[in-house]
Amino acid sequence: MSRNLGSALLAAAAAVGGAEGAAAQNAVKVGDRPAYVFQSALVNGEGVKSLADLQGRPVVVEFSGTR
Amino acid sequence: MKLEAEFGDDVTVLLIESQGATPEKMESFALQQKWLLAGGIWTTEQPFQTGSGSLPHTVVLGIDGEVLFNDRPSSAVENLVSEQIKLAKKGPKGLSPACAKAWVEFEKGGYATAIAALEAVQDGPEKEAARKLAASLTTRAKAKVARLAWLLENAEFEKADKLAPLLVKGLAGHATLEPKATELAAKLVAKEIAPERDAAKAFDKIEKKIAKDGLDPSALKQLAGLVEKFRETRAGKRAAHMLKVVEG
Repeated sequence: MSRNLGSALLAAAAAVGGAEGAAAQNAVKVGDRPAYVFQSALVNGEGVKSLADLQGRPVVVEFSGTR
Repeated sequence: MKLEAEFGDDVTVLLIESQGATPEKMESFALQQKWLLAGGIWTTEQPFQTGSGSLPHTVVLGIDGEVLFNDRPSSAVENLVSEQIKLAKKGPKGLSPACAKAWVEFEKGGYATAIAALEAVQDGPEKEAARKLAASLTTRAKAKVARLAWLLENAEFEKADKLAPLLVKGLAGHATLEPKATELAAKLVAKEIAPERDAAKAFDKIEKKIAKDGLDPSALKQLAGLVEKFRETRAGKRAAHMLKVVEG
């Protein structure tokens, strides 16, 4: 492996690690109050445009896949 | 879906597709699984990071938007939701007396009265808390009016007919929201909407069949027939959209 390629791979790995690290750092924690305004209409959203609109009832946010 | 079946409208389930599917693919999948018609709000947008790399993953937000749980799905979720539903009637812990009273009033349907009571707190130690809660309750009241507008726009007349009188009554005296609620309620009973109501009734019947039996060939045929008969109505357009999504 050339020195340049090695450096490039190390830099790429650091960038990926950095992105993951940033995502983890920005992750919500118990006690946080996340705010978010949705950019597009929600399916079955019944007019909901933001997380704030959902306050007053508990909200279960399920992250899942469809594959 | 289980949570919605158990707690009904007392809980909101927000489903986030997290494998990069397009909104159309997500909708098609949810329809094929009969999940879409069982309730739940669907989106492909990530409203926040969870810090987890695996799916499925669950976050529970309390009645005031606070993160109470952030982990893999477990039975703890059901208990938390149950506790929060009880709390929703009297408000989050630690509310000042004026805020607690306004929260309860809002939950009983006195939306404008609750907001006005909080806005009347102009000084004293409760002023800041009252200002914040007034803003939050105003957002929620606006969301209720937006919901009525959405229900009307999407020909969901059964739900709209129930919500409209509650909003007109509960928002009486609110300078901006009462006129909006009254205007929407008037549209609901307008003569011109009769064809929309006929189409919606036919669509509801098919939706209930799909929720029970799935998207079988007879349901698809019924949807196509509805599109043909009620092409220019909102329900006709919804049926056409459903067929388009399913047929990919």
